[in-house]
Amino acid sequence: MVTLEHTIKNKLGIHARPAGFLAKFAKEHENCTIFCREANSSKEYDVKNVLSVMGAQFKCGDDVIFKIDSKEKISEDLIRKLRELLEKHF
Amino acid sequence: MKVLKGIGISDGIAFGKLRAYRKDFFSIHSMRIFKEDSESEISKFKHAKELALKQLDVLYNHALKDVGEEHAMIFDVHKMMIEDIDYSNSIMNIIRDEKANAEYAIWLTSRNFEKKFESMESEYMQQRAADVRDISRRLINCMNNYVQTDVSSEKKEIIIGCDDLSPSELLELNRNYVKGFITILGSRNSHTSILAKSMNMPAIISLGDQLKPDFEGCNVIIDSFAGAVYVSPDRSTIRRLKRKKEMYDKQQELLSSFKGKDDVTLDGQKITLCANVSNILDIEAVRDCDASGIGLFRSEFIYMGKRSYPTEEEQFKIYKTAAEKMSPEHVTIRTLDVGADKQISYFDIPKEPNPSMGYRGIRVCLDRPNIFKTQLRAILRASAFGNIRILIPMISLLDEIIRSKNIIEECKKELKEEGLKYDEDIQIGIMIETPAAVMISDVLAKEVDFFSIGTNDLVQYSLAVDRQNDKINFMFNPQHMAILRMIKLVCENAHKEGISVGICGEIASDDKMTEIFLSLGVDELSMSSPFVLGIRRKVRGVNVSAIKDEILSKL
Repeated sequence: MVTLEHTIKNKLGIHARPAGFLAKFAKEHENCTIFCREANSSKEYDVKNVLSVMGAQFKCGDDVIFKIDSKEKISEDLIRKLRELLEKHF
Repeated sequence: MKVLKGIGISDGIAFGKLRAYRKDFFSIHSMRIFKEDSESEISKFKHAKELALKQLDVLYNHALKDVGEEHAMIFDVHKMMIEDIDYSNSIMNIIRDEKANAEYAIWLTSRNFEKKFESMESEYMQQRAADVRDISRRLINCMNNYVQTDVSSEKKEIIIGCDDLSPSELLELNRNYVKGFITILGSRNSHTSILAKSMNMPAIISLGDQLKPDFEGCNVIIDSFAGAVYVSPDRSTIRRLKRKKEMYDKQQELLSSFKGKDDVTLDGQKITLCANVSNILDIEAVRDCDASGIGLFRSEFIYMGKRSYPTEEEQFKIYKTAAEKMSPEHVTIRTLDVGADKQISYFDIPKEPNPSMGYRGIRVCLDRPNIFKTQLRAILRASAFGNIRILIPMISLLDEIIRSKNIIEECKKELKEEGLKYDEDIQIGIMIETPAAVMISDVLAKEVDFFSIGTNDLVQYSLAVDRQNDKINFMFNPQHMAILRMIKLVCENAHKEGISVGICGEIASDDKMTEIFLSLGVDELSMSSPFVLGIRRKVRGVNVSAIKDEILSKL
C-alpha cells in the first residue's frame, strides 16, 4: 500500500473532468485499486467511480489522501504517473 | 383544435408535424416489468451503453466544430459518467435483485443519483443532476432505438415534443427540419432556453400535463409571442398565424434593412446603440443586430452557477473572446455586481434584512480585494486583444472610485512586472444608480471616463419602490419626472467634463423614450439585442432640433 497526500489547487475542487481523468487512470491500472479520502475523514472513495468522487465534494484547499492498494508490488512508475496527474488536474 | 398555453422562448412562429422526441422518461417508472431472464436485460443494457458511448464520441467531435470546446465538453463528461462503475452496478443490481426490466433499472438508478446531487449545497453540483438524467435518457433511447435517431433523419418540417430537452439534445437537432420544440417542463432561464434563443429556435416550454402523448403526428403551430401551441389548428387559425408569421418576417426583414446604417437622427445628432450581454453566447446576437458595441457585460453571470470563484485564467479567456469577437467596437465589462437579488452561495454573504441596500456591488469588491483583483487582472489582460472598458457598479461615494482606481493601478503594475500586456489607456467608468451618485455627478465626472445610468436600481432607490414587491409594482415608473430630471442633471454634469453618458436599464429599449434621451443628449443606449434595430429605426426618424425645446421645457 502506498499513500500520497495532495492539496487540491483546482478552484472548482474535484469536479467532473478531473474525476473523469482519475477514473480513466484507475481503469488503465487494473492490478491495483486507488482510493481517496479527505485527510481528516475516514470515508474512502474508489476513484473508478466518477459520480461518487464528485459526490464527495472535495474543495479547493482540501487535503486529500490517495491510497494505492495492490497485491503486487506497486511500481515507482505508477506512483510517479499518479502524482503527475494530480499536479496537472487537481 | 386544442390550444395549449406555456412560456414562449425566442421570438417566432413555427409550423410542423409534432414528433415525440423520445419515450417519455417520466413515465418509465410505471413501465416496470418482471423479467425472468435477468441476463438478457443486462446484455441489453451493456449494448445500449456501448452505443451511447459511440454516439457521444460522434457528438463531441461534431459539437467541437459547431459550437467550440466549451460547449462540446459536456459530451466528454457524459461519457465519463456513463462509464461510472457505481452507476452501472446499481443498474445491474436492480435488474438482478428486483427482476426488473433494464429501462426501469436505469430510471430508478438515475432518480437515486439525481436526488443525491440535488441535495448538495453547491449550485454546480446541483446542476449535475440534470446531467445524470441526460445520460440515463440517452441509455434508454439507445435501448429502444427510439425516435431520437429518427428525428435527425426526418425530411419534413417538424416540431419536437418532449418532457424536457437538454442543451446537448438541442444541439443535436437537425435545424433544417426541426422548426421548434415544446416541452412539459423547463424554465425561462435554463441553459436550454438561452441556447434556443441564440439559435433563433422558437419554443413553448412548461406546458405541464396539457401536452398529451396522443398529439404525436398532429399538425401544430407554435406562437412564442403568445406562448401558445395550436394542436390540429382549424383553417382560420392557420390563416391568422400565417399572416402573423408573414408580418413578423416582414418586420424582421424591414429591421434587417437597418443593418449597417448609422445611428444618427434626421438632423445629424449621433447616438451609440449598444447591446447588453450576460455571456459569450449572447455575442452572436449582438453581431446579428449590428449593435455598435457592448454597453453592459454583466460579469456576475460568470460567477453564478459555479461551485467556487472563477479563476483569472477562466475569466481572461471569456473577456478575451468577447473583445476579439467585438473588435473594433467596445466591450464594457461591469465588474462583479453580487448581492441584492443576485446571491452566489460560495460568497457566503449572510442573510440581510435589506439586501438591495446592503452588502453588494463595489462594496463587496472593496471589502474583498483579492476577488476584485482577480477579475481586474483578467479584464486588463484581455484589454490587449480589443477595445475593453471597465464599469464599476453601485458607486455612492467619491472614495469608492479613488480606491477602485488605486487597485486597478496596482494590477497594472503587477502585470507590467510580469511582462503581461494590457491596454495602458483603458477607460474606467461608473454606474450611476444611486441618487447620491446623481447629486455628486459633477464631482465624480472629474474622476472617470464615462457614466452609465442603471435605471432599474436608480428608480428603485429614488422612488423607494422595491423591484421585487408585486404589491407596489405599478409604482415602478422609469418615466417619473424625478428620474428624467436626474438623467438630465447627470448628462449636464458629464458633458461639462467632456465625458459620455450611457443608459443601460430596461428603459433604453423603450422607443417612447428615445426622443427624450436624444433631447437630453444621452450619448449611448444599451439594451437587449433584439431591440437594437427597432431603436435605430426610431432614431433615424427623429428631428431633435424640432422637439428638443418643448421636451426640455417640461422637465
